[in-house]
Amino acid sequence: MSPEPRRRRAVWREAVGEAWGLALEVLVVGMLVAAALGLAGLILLVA
Amino acid sequence: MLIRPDAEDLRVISYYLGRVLLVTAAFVTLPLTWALIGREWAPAASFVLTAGAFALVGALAAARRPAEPRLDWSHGMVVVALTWLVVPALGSLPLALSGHFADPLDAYFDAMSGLTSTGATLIGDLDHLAPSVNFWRHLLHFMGGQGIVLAAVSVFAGGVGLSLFYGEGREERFLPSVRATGRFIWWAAVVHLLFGVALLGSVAYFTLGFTPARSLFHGLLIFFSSFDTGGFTPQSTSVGYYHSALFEAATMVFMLAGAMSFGLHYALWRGRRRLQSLRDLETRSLAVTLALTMGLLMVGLVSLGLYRSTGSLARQGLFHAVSAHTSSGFTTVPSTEMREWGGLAFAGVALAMFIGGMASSTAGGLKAIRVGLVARVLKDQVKRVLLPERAVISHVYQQGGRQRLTPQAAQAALLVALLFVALCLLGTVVALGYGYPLQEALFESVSASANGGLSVGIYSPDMPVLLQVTYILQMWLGRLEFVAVFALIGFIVTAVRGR
Repeated sequence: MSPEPRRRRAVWREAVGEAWGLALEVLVVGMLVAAALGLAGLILLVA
Repeated sequence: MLIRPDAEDLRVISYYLGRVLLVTAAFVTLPLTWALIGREWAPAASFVLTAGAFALVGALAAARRPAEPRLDWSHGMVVVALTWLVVPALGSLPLALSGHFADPLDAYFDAMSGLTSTGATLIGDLDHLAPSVNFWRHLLHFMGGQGIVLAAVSVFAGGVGLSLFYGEGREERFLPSVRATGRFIWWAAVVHLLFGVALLGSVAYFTLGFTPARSLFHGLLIFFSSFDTGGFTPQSTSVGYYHSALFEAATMVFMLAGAMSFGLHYALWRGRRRLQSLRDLETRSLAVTLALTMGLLMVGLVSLGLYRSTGSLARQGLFHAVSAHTSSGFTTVPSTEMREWGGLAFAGVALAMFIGGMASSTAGGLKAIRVGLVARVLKDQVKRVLLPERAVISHVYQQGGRQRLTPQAAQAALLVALLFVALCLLGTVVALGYGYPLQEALFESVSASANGGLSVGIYSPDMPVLLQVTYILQMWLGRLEFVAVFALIGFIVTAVRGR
């Protein structure tokens, strides 16, 4: 493969990797919200 | 025998300190440009003065190039410790000249709080502060959170950056050189900046009805504060100003991203290990302590009879647990209300601040990896007592691959934990001396030491000067994690008593 397509592929790989990282951060907050709602519900139920 | 530093040592330290200050002068042109575009002439004049002061002091300090411009370990540490004292001093000029502070020490407190990404503030009438000065406060978070010395290292370091890098409380170098690591850290920040301003600005524009310019302003400033786990906000009522669960959730994305180590960012974005990184000791330690402190906070709030619905309890509990644990210090309730929390809720928030985020992140606190290591040492000790004498105890743990818990690593984690407790006690004792209640004194002291920034009201322009100076020292020591400060003290002692 010539250097230009290889370079372009590396840039794409990097961009996809970073988009994945950002999406994961949003997903973690979504999971935390769900966990907090569950925990709050449980605490209120017990209290 | 202590060896007294000679003129060449001073020249090396002065030279690199000067170069860092010259890089900082370049940062000041950003709020200056902002002030000129916004026709804020008085702030613009103060930024010209500040940029000039950084450039002048920097140029004078770097004027004489040392014969051997190579930094050894102690030189680097002293440069870092001094940088983190001098930058807030000069950086407080626009704040002091804004007329929003009672005296220069208050402005210095805020500049130190900004640079160390603490977020405690003594500013008066924040809601009427000039936007360019408000931008400068938040830019201090960004510079400090990312590492101001690291910025300079990325620009000028050849083989000289390692001690500067570690001096700023960074634990790991995940790329072959400090310069490459520094550049990745800044690259990650820029990518998050674009994404953050777009997300936070969109939430402000589409759901809060802000104008495009106002959405951009709030998006940018809140991004600086959340990603660099600072806590300053453009308005006096912190994130409570927005009255929006969606905005709070968006803020949490960047608080958590900021509290993640840049090594983890690297692994998730570009590394081959990606999801395996989530099984590291530090990640698990953070997840467990976040769940525990959030639970403690929620139980405390319920026992006080506050927040009776699931939604509001989850919202308050999660937001404040994340804000405290990442050492951001955002809040949605006034400090007078937080003072009423007391008991378990207080303990949950204070404990979360004490633990803090991951090492090599923008967050403060003891750091999740040390908590994980201390817990592991305790577990191994208990095993040693309970198991038969001949039993072989494994000291292997997962952190960027398999690691062995060596006595040196355990000792270092325990030592920093001990020093951190002592630092928290220092501020508590001084505040108790002035008659503040124990619970509040402890809370504020932990907040300053862990660069948390949450307050129950002791931080105020009326607080005693000695207490204010103590909090400033705590923010400085907490951010640099002791080593650089001890190196500076050692340097001064040898200069006085050495031969």
